[in-house]
Amino acid sequence: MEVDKGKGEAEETRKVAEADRDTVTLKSSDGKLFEVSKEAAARLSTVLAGMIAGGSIDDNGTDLKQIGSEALENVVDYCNKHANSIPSAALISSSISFNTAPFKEPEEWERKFVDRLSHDALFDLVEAANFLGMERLLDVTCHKISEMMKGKSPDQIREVFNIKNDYTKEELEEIRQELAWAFYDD
Amino acid sequence: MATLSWSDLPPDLLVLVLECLPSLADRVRLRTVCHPWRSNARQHSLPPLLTLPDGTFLSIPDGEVIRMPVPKDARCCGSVDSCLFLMEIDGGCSLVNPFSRVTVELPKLGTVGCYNSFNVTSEHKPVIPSALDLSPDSLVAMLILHDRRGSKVCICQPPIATDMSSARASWPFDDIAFFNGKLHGLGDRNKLFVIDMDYESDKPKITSIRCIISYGYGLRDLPQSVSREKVHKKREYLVECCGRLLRVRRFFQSDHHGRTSRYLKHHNTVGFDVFEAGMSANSGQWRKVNNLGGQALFVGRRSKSLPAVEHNGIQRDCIYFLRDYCPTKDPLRDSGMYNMRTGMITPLLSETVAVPQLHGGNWCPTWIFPYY
Repeated sequence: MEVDKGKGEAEETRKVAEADRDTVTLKSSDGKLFEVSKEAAARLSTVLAGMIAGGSIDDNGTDLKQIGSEALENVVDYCNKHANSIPSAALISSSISFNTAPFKEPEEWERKFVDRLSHDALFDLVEAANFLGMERLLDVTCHKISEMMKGKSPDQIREVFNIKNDYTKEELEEIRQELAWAFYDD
Repeated sequence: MATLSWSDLPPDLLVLVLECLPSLADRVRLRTVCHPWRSNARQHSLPPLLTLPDGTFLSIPDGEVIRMPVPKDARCCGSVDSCLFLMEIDGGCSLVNPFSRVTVELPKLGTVGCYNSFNVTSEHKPVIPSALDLSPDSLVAMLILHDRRGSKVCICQPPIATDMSSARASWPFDDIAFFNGKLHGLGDRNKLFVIDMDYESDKPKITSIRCIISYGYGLRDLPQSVSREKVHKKREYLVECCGRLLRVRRFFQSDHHGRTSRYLKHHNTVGFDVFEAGMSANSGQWRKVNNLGGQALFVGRRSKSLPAVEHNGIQRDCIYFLRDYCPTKDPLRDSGMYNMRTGMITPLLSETVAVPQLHGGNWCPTWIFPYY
């Protein structure tokens, strides 16, 4: 996925070439370059769609300073996979009218895509999806995170996500009393 | 690569995760993982619960039945935000928050001129100025509706009642609500009143009752779904919604031909319309509204507007209603969701959810809004 781009092309030629190309090049915070289908990027990310439409795509690699290379690789991977998979009717309708349509369950390949990620990679990916305005990828990643919490006690959730318990003993006792129904009754 | 901890997950993303959790218990547990999650999750309002006759709670629209410790031998006769309005056999009344267990003792209704407190023909609707800072000495206003004897407003500075509206004037109110810190009452003939109170003294008194709206346009129109061939009945609610005071009219019709019962017992809800209280300095008027600006309304013995959250199944521009009149054994009878855009009424619970088994009891159906 990573590509090397020769420098030194004349500005004009490059712009013309950019307009004709069917991919765009994105650059991570640590300087790595990734190529992604222009159509998929524009369809899946409101931010990238705006950049493509506004002509602010740089052939030498559009700087995405907020996104590390691992997360960007996953974003690009997701976009390219999406471009190659035939979107189901359900997916099309949910991406068009996300304001009214309920969340559609992840497709099988989307499930596999997030299942293989480490917890750190998942965290970075959800933030990257948020930054790039990728509604569908956000839904898929947040759905995965929620799956990791379902039916678990706060202690188990802390363990899964490696979160420090910052409650005092007294606070915990208070919560346990107030919310006994949520802890023990399912 | 991740240098941040999961506890630093941005609030908007945490809310997205919450919206993917259909179980109320899961959503509450998430809030107790760490302080940042607890405060960030506050942006996400939990969907309301509906009280069931046996003292349990039904989560809408997923149908989960939730049990919480509630006082025994008391009957739930209404609610206000997170609090149940409970009445005991001796007439003792209280507001109890089953989540935080804060309790506000109210005066015995027998002592404020309302007898037969278990009589089904009287209804009680408590309202409070602000749901967020309810404390044992919060001011509570209570609308007491008698089927045949009109209604009155009782002002309480718990644990005592400090004033009654009927001492001054016999305004019959259909509903009351606090709006911009002032108590408003909906009267007959399209009138909206402000009930001014002297809050300063230890014993809040009603100082005046002023009519601020008495007309509007479109009030004679009926919603499309109401048949012109049959007579209809109305029930009205006052609801605060995003800085607006709304008057919600609920229309009923009966399938019983040739039977013109004056009670609602055999009627079903057929439609709604909504008017906004336009309050200009000189002349106020009712203005019809066609949508709720993305909010959902929950009307009943406790009415409230909530932002609609698609993932929770709470839909925008919809009015959720329940049977807040003539108690029956079936808590879901004449309940549903009215879509203001389409004029359609659909059931409260998702199609795939089974209606819960009931175990007797005499609690009235009402909405209660978890604050966790």
